[in-house]
Amino acid sequence: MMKCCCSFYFMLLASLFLMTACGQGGGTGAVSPQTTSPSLAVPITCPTPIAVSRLDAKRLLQQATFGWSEVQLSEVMVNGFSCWINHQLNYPSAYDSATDRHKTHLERTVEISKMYAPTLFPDALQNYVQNLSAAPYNNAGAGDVKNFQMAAWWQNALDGHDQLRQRVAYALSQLEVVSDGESPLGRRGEALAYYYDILARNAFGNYRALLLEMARSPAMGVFLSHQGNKKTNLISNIRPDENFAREIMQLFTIGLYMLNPDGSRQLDGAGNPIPSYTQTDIEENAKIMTGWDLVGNSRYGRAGNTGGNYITAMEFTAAEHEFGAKTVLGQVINDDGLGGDLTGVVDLLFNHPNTAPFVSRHLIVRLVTSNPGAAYVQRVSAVFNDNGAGVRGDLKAVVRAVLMDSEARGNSYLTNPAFGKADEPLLAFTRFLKTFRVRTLDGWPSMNATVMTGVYWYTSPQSDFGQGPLRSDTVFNFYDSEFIPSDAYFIANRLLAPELQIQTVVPLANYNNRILEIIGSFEKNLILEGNLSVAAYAAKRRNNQKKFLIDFDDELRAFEMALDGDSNGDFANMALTTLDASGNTARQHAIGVLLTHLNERMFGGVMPLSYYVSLTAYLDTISVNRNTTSKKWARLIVKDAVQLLVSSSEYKILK
Amino acid sequence: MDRRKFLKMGLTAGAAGVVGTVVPFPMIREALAVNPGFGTYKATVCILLHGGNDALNMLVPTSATPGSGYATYQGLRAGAGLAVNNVDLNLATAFAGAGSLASGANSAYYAAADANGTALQNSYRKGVYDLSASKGIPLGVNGMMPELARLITDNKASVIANAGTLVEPINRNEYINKLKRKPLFLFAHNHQRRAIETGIGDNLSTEGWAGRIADDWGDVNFNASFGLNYSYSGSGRLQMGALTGPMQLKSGAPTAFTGMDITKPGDVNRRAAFSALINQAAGPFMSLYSRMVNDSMGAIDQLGANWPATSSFSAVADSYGAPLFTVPDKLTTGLGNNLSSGLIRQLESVAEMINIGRNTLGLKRQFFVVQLGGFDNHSDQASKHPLLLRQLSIALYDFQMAMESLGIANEVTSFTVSDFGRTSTANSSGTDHAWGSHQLVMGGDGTALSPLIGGGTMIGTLPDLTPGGPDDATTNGRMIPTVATDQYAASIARWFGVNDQLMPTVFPNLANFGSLGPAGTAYLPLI
Repeated sequence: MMKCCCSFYFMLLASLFLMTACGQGGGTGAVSPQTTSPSLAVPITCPTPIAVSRLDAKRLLQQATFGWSEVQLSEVMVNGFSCWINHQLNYPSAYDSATDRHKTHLERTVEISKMYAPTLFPDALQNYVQNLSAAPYNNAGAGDVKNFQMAAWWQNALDGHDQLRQRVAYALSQLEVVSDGESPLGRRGEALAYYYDILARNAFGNYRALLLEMARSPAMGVFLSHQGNKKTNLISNIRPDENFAREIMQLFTIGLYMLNPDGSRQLDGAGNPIPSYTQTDIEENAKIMTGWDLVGNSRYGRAGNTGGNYITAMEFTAAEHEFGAKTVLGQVINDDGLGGDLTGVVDLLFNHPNTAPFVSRHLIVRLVTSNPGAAYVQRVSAVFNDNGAGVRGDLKAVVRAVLMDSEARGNSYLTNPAFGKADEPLLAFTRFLKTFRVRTLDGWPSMNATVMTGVYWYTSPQSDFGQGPLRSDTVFNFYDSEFIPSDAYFIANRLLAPELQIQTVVPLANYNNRILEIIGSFEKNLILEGNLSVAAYAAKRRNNQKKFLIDFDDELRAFEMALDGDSNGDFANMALTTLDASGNTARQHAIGVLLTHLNERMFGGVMPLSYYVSLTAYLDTISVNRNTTSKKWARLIVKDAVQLLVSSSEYKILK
Repeated sequence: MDRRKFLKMGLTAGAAGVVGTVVPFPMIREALAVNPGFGTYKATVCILLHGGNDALNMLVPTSATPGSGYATYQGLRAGAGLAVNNVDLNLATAFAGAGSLASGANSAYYAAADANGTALQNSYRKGVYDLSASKGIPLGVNGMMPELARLITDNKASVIANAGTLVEPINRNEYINKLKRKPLFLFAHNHQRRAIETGIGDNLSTEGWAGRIADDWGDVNFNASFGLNYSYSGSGRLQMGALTGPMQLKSGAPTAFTGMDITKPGDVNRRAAFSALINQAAGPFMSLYSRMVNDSMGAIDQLGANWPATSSFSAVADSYGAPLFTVPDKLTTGLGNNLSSGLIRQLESVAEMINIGRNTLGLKRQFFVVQLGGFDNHSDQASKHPLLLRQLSIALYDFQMAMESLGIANEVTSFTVSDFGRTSTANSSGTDHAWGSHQLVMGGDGTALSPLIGGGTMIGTLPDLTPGGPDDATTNGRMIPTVATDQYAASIARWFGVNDQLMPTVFPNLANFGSLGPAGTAYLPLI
């Protein structure tokens, strides 16, 4: 299927590009069978294409995807912003049809579990998901399920064609935060997959529906402890848990203080922000958040490793619910005795004037720029309030407004020094992977000695980068949304840079080191130098190691074309000392061509000239001993060029 | 020119400069440097108990006093299974000193599983180490914390009772009727941590108080890489100054930038090339990122060169007799669950950093922040809180022993802070966000000559826990603090070297607490 799609794109784009990035280059690496991931690329059709520059296309993709291949970049260049965004907003997804080839996070988690542990837990997770058996993975192996969920996440992020949906879901996962850190979620990874599907399904749906599903999800119920929350009991002297009641207001909808439609704070006469709710509102809301429990939990209250269903919305248990009308934010929420007051308070919060700027601003800062202009927030808020057809909370319209706004697409990035953001380290990592044509490393053995194909494996990115999907330490996400770094300019101008809060001494080193690990362990040409096939190499990987495959085929081909005038793989002129008309050796010339190639692929053509100067000088000093092949020499040059560029400030700061 | 004007100059220079070029930050620091020129070494360690520690179950009221005593506490907490029994576990026999703590089922706090709970939950509720007879303090230390009880008994730690964020003193009437100023956004995690960290409860947008000290002291250690502040707790505001931020570390030996090791011949050219790239920066984001990477590499270069190959404290015994900073397993603790190791590992690294800083690099002042997370126990508190308390107790003790082994206990003060206290009332299995809470201060060698921390006392008074009572801000037992966090932080800062001239800049609200402390000041009788 990949072959078909690649040829299709190749024809479509042949006039634009000599090289495409479809799957394999000219080498002999194993072809990854994309048997299970949503791999059917749907061609973009555009009635009125408006071509845009490479840089403009790159800027949109850095905001809207987890990274891009040359093919995806050219899609935008040919068709333009609006058409590409509409194409993505209407892209087929796993949430359209239960029977098509697109897999939800949960479905993919199940598939991976079957591949990983077919004998220990035959179809256990699948039977459970299909309601055929009780919860699997009672003890041994339970901690693996979250690893399968993480593998499913990597696959959707790296291979999913519904990139915009997946990217928005990831942005939402940083707003309505749950984490594996709250017991027992670390041993019930299916709850995380189910939760992520709620985010991904509603990413292009309505924010109200998202709130309702989120509020009743087992993952959120456990994470913020309204699962099993009990009503007031005067004999035992207990009252309802306030945890979720507080955070659904503070963090998921209206925030702490009253906002103007442009996201700025309203101030009282003394110049202080005006709180948007009181402690009494929380206590009232806490009463509403009683009576909800996991389906199948035998004992209301505690959630255990083994009891209860984590992939079905929580059910209402009237006997544990605090009955009676509650007053929240001055509004009486009626109690229908069936749990309808939860819907009532969600409606109240959804319709609160703060919610539009609060959610709109979050999406802007996650996708586009850390310090949006007030007018930008206001324009998006207006779309949140009304999509043009009288519908409030239409996230499809909101996402479109975020990405099509003049501040996102116009020249702000050139004229406003505060425009832009530090990339999230995890996203810089995926961007790097996709530039170098990441695919799965197939044939590695699972802990149960089964052969794994079509599965990415990197279980704890949060340990390296300080962030991972659904892996935050707390409900406050990986970074403080109001973080101002210790820097004279940022402080003087009150500029936020949340993503820099986690890029401290050790994570910065880890980022460099993980890039190097990928380049130094998973690059196809490097693997082949070791006289092992890629499959044989994969078979030797241990369970706890990462598994990816990238290649420098395009880079080496460009290098050799410049070096030798051919691409037969001999790199014949590496050591040639003859100078050309510009006074360069063939190798120096090839280094320049390589850097131009990387500039196009990684920077959209705006890599600073000084990078050329510094890198050309350094890369030419890389020397090898007599036994090293010329091709390996060239590869070492490519490797260092990539390593240094991926850690550069030009790469890590997005404008 | 006064410091404020200097600061303003620095900011202006930065604002104008950064857009075009990278501002050379050491130059700003030099322009501001009011290096106090300290002659001797001191370190301060702030231990953040992240999420809001339930100090009521860490230090249980044991007196018969109505409202603030045991009966009220027990009545509020027992229904949810969260009342610690008022049973003295006898510290003298339970834990006499290093190596004397019995393990497993032989430990004083051990309780078997029964119909009421697991071994862990029952151990949490079994009893306390009473401080009333030995120290005259009407509190019992939770059975999980024999080491803490020993530290207090040996005059190496003190309790600050019912402390919390305040702008000025306030009582229930003044709170309800809005007659006094109060911290912004009470009961919200992030903003209450901010109030603690900024030292200005009514201005959460400012820099942190340790950051302000660092800004003022300039190049206090005469070392471009090793300034005042070090964080094992990410980038909280506490150490963020207008001009300086903390060196942010993770426990253990420093992670090097692979392939960029300045001491390896094969890496030198690559490192130089990378530096050339990194130093090219246009605009504020890139300039900042460049500086962060340079600072990181500089710190790692120096740390890597000095970090010991094996622990400097492996010959010193912990409470069980194992080497210091050992994390005991569940068989040793008898709790049925393993402890997490985060705080123990962080404080082990702080001990090494102090040893390197003081004894190798000749630094004069270091301020560390470490953290233990997981205290937001809205639910299932009886299964979560005991493991945290056990770890905290071990971590405090091991760190104190490490400082004593270096002979510098009098040069190091540690103190806890937490988002807020928790409600005196309970929900079905946990407690919710509240306000005032007990905190700990630790340091000194325990002798009468020790300069530190009151030596085994309780500073402040215990609140009336009655819901809706005179000390409750609401109706569910959210205690109004009677000691300001700023007061005890300022008291430690004064010991650390912040002089009277600088103090109003660091803690502008301190003067609001006028005459509570010795000699008519707002300082606590700590030092």
